[in-house]
Amino acid sequence: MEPLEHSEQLETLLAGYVLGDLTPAEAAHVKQLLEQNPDLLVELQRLQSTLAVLPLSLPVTSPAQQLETRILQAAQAEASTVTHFPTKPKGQMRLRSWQWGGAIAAAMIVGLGIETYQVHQKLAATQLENHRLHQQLATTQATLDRIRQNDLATARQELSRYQEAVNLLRQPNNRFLSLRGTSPKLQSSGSLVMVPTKASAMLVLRDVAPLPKGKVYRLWGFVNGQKVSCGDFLPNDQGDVFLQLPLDQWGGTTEVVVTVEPDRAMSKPVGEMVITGS
Amino acid sequence: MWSVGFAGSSNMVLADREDAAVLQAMRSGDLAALQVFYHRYGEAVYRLALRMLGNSSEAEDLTQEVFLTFWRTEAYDPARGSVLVFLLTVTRSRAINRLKQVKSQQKLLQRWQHNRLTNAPNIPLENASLTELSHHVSEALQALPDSQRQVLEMAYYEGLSQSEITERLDIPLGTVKTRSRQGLLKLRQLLKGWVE
Repeated sequence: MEPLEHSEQLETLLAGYVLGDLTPAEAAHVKQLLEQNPDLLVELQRLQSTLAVLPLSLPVTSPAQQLETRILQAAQAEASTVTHFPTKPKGQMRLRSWQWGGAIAAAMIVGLGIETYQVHQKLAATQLENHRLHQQLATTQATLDRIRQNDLATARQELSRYQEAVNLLRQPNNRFLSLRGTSPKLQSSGSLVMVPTKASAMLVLRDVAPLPKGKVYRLWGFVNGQKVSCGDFLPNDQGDVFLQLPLDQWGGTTEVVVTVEPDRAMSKPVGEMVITGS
Repeated sequence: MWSVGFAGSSNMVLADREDAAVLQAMRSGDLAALQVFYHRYGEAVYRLALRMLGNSSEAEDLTQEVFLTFWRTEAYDPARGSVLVFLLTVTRSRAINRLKQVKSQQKLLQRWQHNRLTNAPNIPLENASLTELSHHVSEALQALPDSQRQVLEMAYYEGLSQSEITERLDIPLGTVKTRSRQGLLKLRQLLKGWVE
């Protein structure tokens, strides 16, 4: 009988096996022959290697240079996070275990390796994103806290001022002067509350027109027939004035006027009178 | 730069060593060994990946995947063949997976892995420079009749089954089988001494 290794039919069967085009019956037959004759494995391997190097006929095409760096970086990153598979002792038992089920298991290990790698990559990306979000959240919280504190401080100041005003209004012996614009064009109106017991006065006005830069409103009282300056003020953006003034020598005044003056101290008014009060 | 970090003195020595010694270094966790393998076979893997996937971005991605698998696992057993053959086999099976998104590479790997206990030295393939080997493979493939080369390439690069090739070329299944088997056997003869 012709040795199996030189049988043309067997060669064709082996080629078919490598190409994966055998019928199940033929494949089973080849497996049986391989088990019985280890020498056939050498020939099978040669055919497999021959088929495997087919792409070497393709034109040489180099990948981008960065690819090498990328691969080495990824491998190094893995080396620090993934335990390397320990080298298994080689031996008959191990080789036998590689027969059929072993091959499938090995393929699954390759698959699982990729899975693990992909999961690691995803985990790393997620952790990075998580870290970034945490940082954003911390920044946002800090900003909110700052705004809250600032608002709170402002609100407390406002509250304090109103509480003080209410307290002043409750004092006995208060005097009220009613204030109005001097012409239909000057619609300002309000009150001056003088609180002798607290040596304080409170000026409340609304519809006060804004002034050009360098100008202020100045409140004048009368002491012995002479105008004395009681204080300067400017309205807020809404045209309101809410001002507490020290009430000193003009505490007895029965009449006040408001003029528009240059923003500097002057003993006498020089500007236009815009509001009067009595 | 990475070249400084990885191409140390051990790398210089490793670069002159045979695949078996480099593999041993790689399995002990030496990153320089992976770099040596990449220098030896990275281009061949990429060449195949590019042919099968058709764009450089995916081909680079697959090349990275193949080398990281090689680095991470012990799926490769030197007793079953050369590193180059293993890398090309894995590259092809994964490219087919990507192309078809079905059918695992188990069958292909199974065929590869069935090849147990041969202890074939594979010295000609290992020692031949890739350029030299590429030249011989190209010449051998050119020596095949067009009809044989066509079915081999369709099966190899597109991962088509024999019956799919039958449909594509509108020729009988028997003819496809005959052409591809004869083509492979002829290649085997032509590359004798180069691929063991």
